[in-house]
Amino acid sequence: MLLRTLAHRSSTTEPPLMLLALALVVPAVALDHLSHTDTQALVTMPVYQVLHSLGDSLLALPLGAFAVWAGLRLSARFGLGSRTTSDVIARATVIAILFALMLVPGALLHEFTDALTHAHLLLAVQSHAASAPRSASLPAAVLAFVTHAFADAVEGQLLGLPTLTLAMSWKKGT
Amino acid sequence: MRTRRTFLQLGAAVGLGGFIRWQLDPTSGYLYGATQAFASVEAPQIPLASTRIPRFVETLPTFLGRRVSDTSIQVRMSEFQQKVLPDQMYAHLAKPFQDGTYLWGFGIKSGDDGGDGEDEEFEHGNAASWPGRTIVAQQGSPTTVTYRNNLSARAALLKYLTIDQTIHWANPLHQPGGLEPFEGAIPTVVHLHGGEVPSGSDGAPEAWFTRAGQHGAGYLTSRSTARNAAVYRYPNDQPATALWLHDHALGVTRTNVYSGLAGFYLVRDRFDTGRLDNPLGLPAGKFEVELLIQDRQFDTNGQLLFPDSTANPSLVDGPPGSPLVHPFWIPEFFGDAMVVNGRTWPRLQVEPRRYRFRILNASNARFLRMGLAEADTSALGPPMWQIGTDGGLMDRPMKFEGRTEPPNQRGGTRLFIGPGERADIIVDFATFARKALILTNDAQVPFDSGAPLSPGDPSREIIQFSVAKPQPGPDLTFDPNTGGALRGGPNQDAIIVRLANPTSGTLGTGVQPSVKRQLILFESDVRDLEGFQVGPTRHAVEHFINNTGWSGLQPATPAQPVPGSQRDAFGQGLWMTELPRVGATEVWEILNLTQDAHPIHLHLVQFQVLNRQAVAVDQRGIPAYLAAYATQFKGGTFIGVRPDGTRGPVDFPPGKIIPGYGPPNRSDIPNADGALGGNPAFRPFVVGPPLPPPPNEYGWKDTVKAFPRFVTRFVVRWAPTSTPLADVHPGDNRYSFDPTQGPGYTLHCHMLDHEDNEMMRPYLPVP
Repeated sequence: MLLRTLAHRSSTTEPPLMLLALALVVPAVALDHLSHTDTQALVTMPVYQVLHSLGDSLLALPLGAFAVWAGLRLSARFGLGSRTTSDVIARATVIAILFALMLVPGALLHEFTDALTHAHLLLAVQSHAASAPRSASLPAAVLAFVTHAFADAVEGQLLGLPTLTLAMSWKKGT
Repeated sequence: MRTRRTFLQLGAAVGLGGFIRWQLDPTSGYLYGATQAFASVEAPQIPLASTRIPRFVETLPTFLGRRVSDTSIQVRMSEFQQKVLPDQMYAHLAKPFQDGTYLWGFGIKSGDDGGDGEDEEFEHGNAASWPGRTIVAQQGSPTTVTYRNNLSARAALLKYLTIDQTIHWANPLHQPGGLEPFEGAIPTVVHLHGGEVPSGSDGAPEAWFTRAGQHGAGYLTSRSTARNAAVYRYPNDQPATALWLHDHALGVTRTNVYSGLAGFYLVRDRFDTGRLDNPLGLPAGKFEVELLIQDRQFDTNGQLLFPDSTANPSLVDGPPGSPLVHPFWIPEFFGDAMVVNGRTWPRLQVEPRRYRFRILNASNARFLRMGLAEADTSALGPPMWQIGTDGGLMDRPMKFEGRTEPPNQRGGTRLFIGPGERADIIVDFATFARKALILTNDAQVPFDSGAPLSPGDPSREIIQFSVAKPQPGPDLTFDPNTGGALRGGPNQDAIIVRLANPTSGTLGTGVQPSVKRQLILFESDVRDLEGFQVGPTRHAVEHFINNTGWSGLQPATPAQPVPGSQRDAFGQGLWMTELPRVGATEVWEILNLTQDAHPIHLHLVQFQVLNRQAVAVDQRGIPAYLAAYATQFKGGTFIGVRPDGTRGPVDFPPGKIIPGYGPPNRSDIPNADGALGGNPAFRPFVVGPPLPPPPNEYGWKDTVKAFPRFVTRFVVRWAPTSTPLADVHPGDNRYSFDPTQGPGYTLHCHMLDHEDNEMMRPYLPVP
């Protein structure tokens, strides 16, 4: 029902949902991946890094699609139109904020995926990365995780928001 | 319609994303193999995930009937190929890899080479192997060993073991600091680990020699020989124990030992004879088995893989952490394949009776915490009874049940040994007939800041014992379960001379140390020069004992010796700070300011663990001592690691630790604790009671685990272990040789990657 409504609406005023979701998710995830990867690792294994980022983007696509759907509905309820550039930016911002919020539980899913597919990376100890402080209480650890995940998610929107805005403007322009 | 299509598209996207992530898995993903760069800078190598190596297929190579015992022995270091992985894994490989893994090892044969320098062909049975054949010496009967280095610059393995010339190393081609891999003849020198030997035969790091005839400044031979050889004399005065031979060349020990240059050296005495009729009744003959345990990594051609490239971020080891300073050196090597006596995950058929295992942890950096478990059910297997430590038999056996324990357990029911340590154990398989048992390991890497091993971690299993059906006839060998003693009785050696009381953690009765030393362990990092930063971007640059590098020179231009040090008289250009009097008894206190445990090894001597005591830490787990330590540094311009990760002059403000500077104060002036070493006193910072050593440290030790955030104390005496307390005083030499002469001895961390990069100091007893 939700998607049917969205599909109907987006067919008239917005680009297809999948296109908007891709425009939002792929750059945001790529920026996050970039900021969490050593320069040397990027230089020596560029194809691996691209594929890793692409895989994560595709896994996060449903979250992005939901953010687009919900963001467009919310924007409509707030009375945001789609005619002016500022309207488009405002709608894109609402979507980006929603996506950033979605990425907090998404970070948990990402950890889970890493544990499933990259078990050995957990043992990559050569960097001497210290394990988390052992004295951290559970609430503190959860808060730290949520804060870190949200900060990363917001960082990703630095690229996701402009590309989403462009995608929305492109359809409007055509 | 559009709704369904959108759902399908999203489902397909998730599926494709999951597939990509799955295939990027380093252990099994095809995409990973296709996208990665090669793991070695000099030869194309693709890591072989050890999960693809079949386990418990090949039989454990043993040394029964192959041990060498003679007063003169020849050892050749050469390159060869050996099947380390299961035979089937080499069958499909192209030439030359199908013949086996390229290794360097010891070829050992009895007899004298006559000192003429001729390089005799070693017949097949004496050919080089990994490990080398066990040498057996008799107490009181000296052994002369001629070591010859036949490793050429064209060795195939040299391409896989990249030698980093930026660390302080033997450097036979005089290319200091070169960023290119070394391509000359390999320097080697052999150390008899745990041996009471003259320093000229100790295998000092500077005593290396090459096939091409180049020599290090510490080179010495007890008689004239070929330029690519050295003749060492081992007095064999010490009581029965398991020593081991391994390479010790400056800055390349980690790669030389990794290549296979290691082997056992058993000392026998009139009680522990090694014969079936030995007075102690210990299992002997085919029931005495050496287990030389190491971890390794392999490539898809079945060759050794030693990470040296930023293109190898996967599997157990990541890339070099400080590539702008050390392009190929990695702080610690951890392999994903367990190797015993040169075979990955071997199996040994045993009879349901008692066996004696001489266990050696010869890994570069991996600690082992072991137990026995049934292969099918993981139920508890037979206990391991430890009867001996590094320096010989204990007074009585100690039982290690091998139960599952918390990851940070340090002295529980499992047999816990760090790199370089040995354990002499008895296992009784009598009640496990027709069962398979696994020697398990659960020590995290690094120990103990690393995450607990995952349930499927390949290093959890080491070797399988397949117990045969019950045999007729009683087992008349020594039964540790009856509580019988190993020393002090008839037909037994005297009880251990007690420098420390292990049950109370106090000095032994009548022991009066003349000197106390307080030394710190310190690690310098790229991002944080305080050494204890918690964060994901710490990369070790160097490790230090007492913040002093191997040479004892401060990192300044021009270089200045550490205040209070003395120049070595042998001409190696080293500055020594630890100069104990021969015959003296000292208490050493090691405060570990790094995040992980370090196995600290002293040459020449055996010592006894006194106790360990925690130090106060702040909320981040950082020792409070560190701040007090830092305040004593007065600042200045020294060579260090700059914020951009390169090495060069750095302005250190007062109150900032200067890596490699040495201690902040003169090391020869006692501090408030009355201890030498040049550091602020430890006493104000210790918390809680001193903890006596765990039972597997109740005997003589030459290597001790120094845990992070702890002071580790031991009592050491520069005299043979069996010398009664009253028979030796400072200045008395009770050795059969003069230990005050020659190039000297060393004390170092036995994580080979650490000792290669400055965590080693020379020392020499003085008259």
